[in-house]
Amino acid sequence: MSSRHGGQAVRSSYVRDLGRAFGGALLFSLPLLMTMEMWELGMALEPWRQLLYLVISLPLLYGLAHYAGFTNRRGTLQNILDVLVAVLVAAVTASVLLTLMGAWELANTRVATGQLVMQTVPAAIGALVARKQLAASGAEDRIHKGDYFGELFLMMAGALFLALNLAPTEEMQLVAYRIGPLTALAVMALSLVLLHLFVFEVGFAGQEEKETPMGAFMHFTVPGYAICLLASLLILSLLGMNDGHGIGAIAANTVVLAFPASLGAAAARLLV
Amino acid sequence: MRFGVSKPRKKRRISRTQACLAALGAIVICIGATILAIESANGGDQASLSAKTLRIDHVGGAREVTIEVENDGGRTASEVSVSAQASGEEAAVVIDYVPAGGGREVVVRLEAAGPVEVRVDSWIYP
Repeated sequence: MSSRHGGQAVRSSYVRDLGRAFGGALLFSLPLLMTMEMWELGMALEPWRQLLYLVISLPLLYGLAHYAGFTNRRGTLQNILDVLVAVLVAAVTASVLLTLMGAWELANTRVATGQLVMQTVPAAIGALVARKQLAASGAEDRIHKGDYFGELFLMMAGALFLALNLAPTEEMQLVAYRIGPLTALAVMALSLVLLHLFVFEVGFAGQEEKETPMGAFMHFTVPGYAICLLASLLILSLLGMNDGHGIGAIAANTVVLAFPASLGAAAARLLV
Repeated sequence: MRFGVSKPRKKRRISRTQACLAALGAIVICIGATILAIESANGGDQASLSAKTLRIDHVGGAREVTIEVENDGGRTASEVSVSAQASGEEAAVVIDYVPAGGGREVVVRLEAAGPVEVRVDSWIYP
């Protein structure tokens, strides 16, 4: 009797977790699902780039499952299961919404697959951070004090997510075209200042209470911003936005995208 | 207390629901990756565009020409310029994207009489 009740409790808890996963997938993917450029990337982006995008996202999703996840279960196998289920949840969410919006080109397999893959990754990110965001009671923190690389990983995840939201839009390149090198340097400085304010004021795990602003700057802000620059460069290159550009233009594109990416990196620790 | 016997480890249960959903998720990933890999291997690096007249409707004093533009190449073309000509009159339209292996239908309006010729004038690669 007790094992039957225990089994029912496990199932209903998992159904609740799934509900949160769907909620997280919807919440995080909606801006991209309603962005025309993302629909068009499904047909305009070469299949090998879309495949690379999918492959690169899997270790990122595993890391998020480890540090967040939509269930409270841990372990390598559980993390893998969380990732697979998050992808399924994300694919279902994306396919339903793309269909409802009339944006899914089902007549062409290549385009339909590309569109679904492009939308599934951000939705899966949302599904995996759902537990922390949508749980009725506070979910326990999986980042323990001293987990420096965990903090950096989350900053990277936040940077990638926000960069992905903005990179497909034409406005990012337009801003990069318009600003000169001095303005780009100012954008870099502002990104560093804002990231540092978040790092030092919020207090990251592993940050000692008596750590000085300069200590936090060197320990978290500088590596964090470097991660934002690399994440932005990766997303821009993956989406083909740097193709045909000279080194100066690539640098400008990267710095402009790294500005919202740095806010994403700073906010990630608050959200996960 | 029984000596030499270790306490059995608690097994963390994986529910059937979780296992089934995870399997479906793995299938989704595999299918998506397979299709993209095949398209990567088989797709070319050029678009091959052609236009043909699907039908001509007489509306008022003019003709509405429905044109089908097809891309038989391996690469998506963007800003595809398509025109229809009849007796010296030309009407053109620009299509945002024509995906590789896909097509688009557009409609142009011509006042002039005479045989209609349709063609793809230009495109760029996104």
